[in-house]
Amino acid sequence: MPSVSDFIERPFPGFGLGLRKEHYEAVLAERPAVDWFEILTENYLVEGGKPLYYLDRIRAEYPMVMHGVSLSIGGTHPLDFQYLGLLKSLIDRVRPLWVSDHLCWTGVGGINLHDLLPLPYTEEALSHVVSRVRQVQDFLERRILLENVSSYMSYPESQMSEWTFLTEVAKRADCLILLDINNIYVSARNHGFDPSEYLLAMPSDKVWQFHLAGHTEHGQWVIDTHDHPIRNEVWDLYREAARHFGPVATMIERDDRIPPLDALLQELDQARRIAGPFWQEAA
Amino acid sequence: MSKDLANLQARIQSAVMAETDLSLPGLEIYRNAYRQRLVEALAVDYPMLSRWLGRDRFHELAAGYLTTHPSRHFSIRWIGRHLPEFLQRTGPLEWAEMAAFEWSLSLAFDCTDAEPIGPDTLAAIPPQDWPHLSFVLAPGLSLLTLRTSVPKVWKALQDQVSPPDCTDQPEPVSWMVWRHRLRCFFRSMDGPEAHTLRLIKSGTAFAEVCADLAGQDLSTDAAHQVAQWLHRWVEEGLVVGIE
Repeated sequence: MPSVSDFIERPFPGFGLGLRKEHYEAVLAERPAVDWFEILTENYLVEGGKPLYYLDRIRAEYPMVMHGVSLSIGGTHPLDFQYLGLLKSLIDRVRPLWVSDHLCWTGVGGINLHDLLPLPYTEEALSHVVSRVRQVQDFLERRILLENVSSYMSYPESQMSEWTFLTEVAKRADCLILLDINNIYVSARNHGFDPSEYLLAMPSDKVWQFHLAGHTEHGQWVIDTHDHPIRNEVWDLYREAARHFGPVATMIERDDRIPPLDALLQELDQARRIAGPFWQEAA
Repeated sequence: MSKDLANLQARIQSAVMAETDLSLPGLEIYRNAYRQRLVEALAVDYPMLSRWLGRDRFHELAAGYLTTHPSRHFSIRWIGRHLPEFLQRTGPLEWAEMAAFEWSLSLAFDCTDAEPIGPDTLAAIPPQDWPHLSFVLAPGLSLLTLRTSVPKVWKALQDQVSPPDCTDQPEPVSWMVWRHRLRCFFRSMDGPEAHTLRLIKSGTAFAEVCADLAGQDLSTDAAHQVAQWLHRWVEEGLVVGIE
């Protein structure tokens, strides 16, 4: 297992986009100015056909990172080694810059809710997650990034803040962090904490990637819908993150109401304009 | 170990799946999202069935299905795998057949890739080799026997024109669904072709297939007919190997 001392600084591959099937043809035809693509791992855990056809062709032109939703790292059901085996094969095929999933649980008793449910932030959950991250990293023979999820409920059982919990997981399990700026904003609004406090508490050397996305106001709740352009409040938080952390691989996630590729390229340019002044030397 | 966590997750899951009530602010969002997400995923698996039934009827169907068959797979891609069988037990025949038809298209879509052989490969087989040969068919090939006209309904819905009434066929009709390179295809077959294709698919050697078709010893006509079908299947990209 690599340890923190094995790397000097985090890699900075630049600015990426989430690869969506609606854009396959445009990406191949137009070769857009995207530094890398993030793929949704589960979309490519198939035997063949279009998904793998386009994956291989686009991978030949762009670096990629892999982002999964099925690890259930905080779940109390045993780790799914069939899934992990397939994940490892896909890693061999894609040779990604890195692999990420979420700090959450997705179901117990063999059932998959296909949602990213928050954990109670307890010592018990912390030990449990740390142990599972170690198992996964040993199996994959690489460190993984864990992403903070947006959440709409919190547990009376929690003994610490989410940012303390995430930091402790990263430190104790020696894993990395994918910091979703929008999710911090969404959870901060829903639970009434200061998003800057969260941001500034993150261990800088562990944060290897940022996610940016849009959200929706829904009554008393802010919902992480990934179906809108990024809101100004999230851009503001991103600016703060860019200043604080230095160069971190940044990507835009859009999962629904997918706009033409050009619209996302423009959003990505906005990220470059915001972070650029802080990161000039690296970029 | 993690006993409290396991209990908590079991309670939350049960409430998200609307099996039990739990008073926890925000939980309702997860409960609504759970149902909505899975119904949407089912509609992706069964796009024409959902279009055919309309939103309300499809939602009602999906709710019943998901209660019986919650996801037990790591990928949401497989959420609809039990729907054809579920509808066979609980639904009208034409819904069950539409589901079976669409699921076979879905299976073909991302099945294992295999490069089809060309007509030249067939032409190059020495005559004396034919009797012992068996043929490997495209991995995603499904053979269906449908008693209703759902493929016609499917085609109309796909073309976004008003679908014809779904009628019972005088005799069940055999269909094949497969993928050639990146495109999925389907067509009907007459009984003998379907029967022969099933034999070929099960790995039966050419001579036995011909004998079966002739209903007796190998006849020239049967061999000629099977060879004709084989040529057509090769042109359709259905044959991916010869053993």
